[in-house]
Amino acid sequence: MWEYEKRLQFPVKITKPNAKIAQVIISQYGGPDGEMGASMRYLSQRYATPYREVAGVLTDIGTEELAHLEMVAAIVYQLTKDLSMDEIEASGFDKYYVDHTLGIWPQAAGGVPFNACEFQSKGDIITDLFEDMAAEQKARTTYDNILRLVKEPEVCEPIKFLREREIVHFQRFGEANREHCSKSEHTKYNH
Amino acid sequence: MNQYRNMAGYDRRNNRDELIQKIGMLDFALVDLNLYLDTHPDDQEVMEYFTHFKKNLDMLQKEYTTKYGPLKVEDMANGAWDSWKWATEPMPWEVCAN
Repeated sequence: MWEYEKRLQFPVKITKPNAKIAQVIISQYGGPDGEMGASMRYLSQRYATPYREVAGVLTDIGTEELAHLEMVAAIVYQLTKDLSMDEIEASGFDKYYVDHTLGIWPQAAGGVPFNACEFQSKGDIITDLFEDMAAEQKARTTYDNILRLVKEPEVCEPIKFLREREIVHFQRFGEANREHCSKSEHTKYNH
Repeated sequence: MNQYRNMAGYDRRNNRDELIQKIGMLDFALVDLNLYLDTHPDDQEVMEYFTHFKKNLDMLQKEYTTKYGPLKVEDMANGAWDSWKWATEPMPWEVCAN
């Protein structure tokens, strides 16, 4: 069960639209290491874990990823608002625009649609937690790449916040793996 | 956890922007402590920080939602509004809401 709070986890206030940047950042909405894959990965994996504490970590981080998904969408929404047709054509945004107008749709920067094959739910919590740690690092690298491509402070600030959260989540998944899954009875639970 | 040890208390004279900023900071502290406690469930000291920040957050949220409008739909019960503000106030992705 979830409740909605009408507030972003970190403020997004972009005053200057820029469709070129939006096309890069949308990868963290529906791309291979984006927030949609992150939230669906953890929220799907949590049912099969034999450890209640690990299910708690997956639930809470999965929930935070939904808030990050909303932040990324807010960034793309604000970057593409009030664009002129000239700006849409000149920035290369016309290829997205023809299918989605200014609607937010989950795709990678290269136009590949979101696909559930971007994550696993393997039913073995050690396997899943190692995937989760790798996923946080891949998302961190993607945010690093965005920060190399984007210089506007009003865009960079929320991106830097999201990047930092990847590092904290990596840490927590590592602790969950160490604390709960290093128990000798793990293999007994899983077979 | 050092960053949370030094957080001061909050006074109640806030304008709308200051209030929502403080709510964001405190709620973020709670999210971060939540994840820490998930993997350190016996850390009593940090559990006390969680309780302390939650009490401060409750006060600020009560002030905000009584003065300006709901953050959660349940907050509609806090104020005497003449319309269903839950649906008519800006959505969080709008520039003016941030």
